[in-house]
Amino acid sequence: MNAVASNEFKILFTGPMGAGKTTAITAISDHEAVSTDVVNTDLAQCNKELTTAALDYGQIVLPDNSCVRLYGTPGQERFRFMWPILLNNAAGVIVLLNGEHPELLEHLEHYVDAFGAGKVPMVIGVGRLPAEDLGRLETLAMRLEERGIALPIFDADVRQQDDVLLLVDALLCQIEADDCRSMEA
Amino acid sequence: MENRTLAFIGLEADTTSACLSMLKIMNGRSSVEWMQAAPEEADVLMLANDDGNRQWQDGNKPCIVIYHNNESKPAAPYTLSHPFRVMQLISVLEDVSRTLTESSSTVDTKANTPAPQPASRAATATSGQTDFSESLYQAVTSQDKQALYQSESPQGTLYVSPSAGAYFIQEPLYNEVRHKTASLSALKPANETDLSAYIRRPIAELAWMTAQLASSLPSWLPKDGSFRLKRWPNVRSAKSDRAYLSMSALMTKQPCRREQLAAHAGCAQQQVDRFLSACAMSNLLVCEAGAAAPVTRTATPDEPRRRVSFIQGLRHRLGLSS
Repeated sequence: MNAVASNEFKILFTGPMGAGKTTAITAISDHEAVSTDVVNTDLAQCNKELTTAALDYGQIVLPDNSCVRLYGTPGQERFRFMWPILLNNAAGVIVLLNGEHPELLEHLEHYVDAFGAGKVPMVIGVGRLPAEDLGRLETLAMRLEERGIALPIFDADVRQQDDVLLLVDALLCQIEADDCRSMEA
Repeated sequence: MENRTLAFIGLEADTTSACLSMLKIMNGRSSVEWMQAAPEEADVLMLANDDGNRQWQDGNKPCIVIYHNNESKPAAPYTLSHPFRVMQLISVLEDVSRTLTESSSTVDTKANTPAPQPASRAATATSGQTDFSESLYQAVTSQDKQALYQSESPQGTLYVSPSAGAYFIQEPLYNEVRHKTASLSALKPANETDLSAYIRRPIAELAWMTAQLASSLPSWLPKDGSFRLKRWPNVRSAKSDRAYLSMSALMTKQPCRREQLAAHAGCAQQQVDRFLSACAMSNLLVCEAGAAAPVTRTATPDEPRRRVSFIQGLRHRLGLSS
């Protein structure tokens, strides 16, 4: 896994436009996410008025005054050059996908590959799934399994704080598991 | 209606009072009526997470350990994180009650007592469930996947299609299965059937509900084996719980023995066994009999220590129970 600088704990939120990265960060950040929203000129890609053009930023101050930093990547492909910069020293990545999108499987592989292909702790949250459509999640998990990648994939409505917390908790469990691989047999 | 008694030991007055209020709410809505009793006379003990109460845990009565949500989860078979809700109390009391029924059934069988068992319906369901769980495991892991299997019950027929990852059920039987009172026969191959009147549900859900009936690791899984996961289960549909997240995270990275999982997730062995059983019946589990888990250090000692501090602090800030 990536080395984490001793004074920094960074969680990255990524995914295509409109997947809910800004909303997810705002749901758990101490303050509303600092966003660099601009008017969306790519309505074909995603039908919303504003979109993030650089990055989102949120933070959670811990009881010992250290800080967990939450970064959201811009969703547009033309800002892809920023992804490895943001990924540097990240403790883990939360990928948010739109379950209604016809290219859901392609999006999954695209973001998993771009952010470490399973080598960095990662959780996938899929929004806008039809109720009880767990078969779609199974399909995504099996696609990764075929490539030897096992990642948690949950349905997640990022407007619900509990859903975002589940994603964060699963990510923390993965980071812990990486550290505990040295435990006594 | 069955009656059981519960004693409170070392709990703060407001916790005891909240529990008694919850028991009043529960009574009449559950198959078991709970009443308060002195510790010596009670069937079940509810204890504060305190070293002074260890003597009670060493006794032969089931103990529910109450721990505060900023404490580590104690390694006890039954625990509740304070503050808790009435549904959580109901869930743990149902588990305890089932264990009491099963152990009384085992003791009576060993004593060769011919008299009918109390709560014989639950006992029958548990024994039949062993056959059903094994047959479900075989159906989902078979290379030669039969298109459709069926299981009979007095409340109706349940169909399982491993290739579709689904089972098909009607409302009355579904309610029985959900309430863990269904008595299901072992699965057997079924002819093509019109399932349009049936509800389609994911097999993982059936596996999860079936696994909750087991009191230990089923005989069709090796007790001394190592287990790993092919992919993450949909833990959310199987009642989201930190222990399941922790076990899933570890088992997708390396094979683990049962004791390692219990230690890592800080949960009771029974919870581990049920989880392994559910994963096996969902065709997610790879069993490696007798294999030892590798010991691989991936980070320098200082890195994990700092990360542990961040993780604990973050969970505390976000209100995620320890």
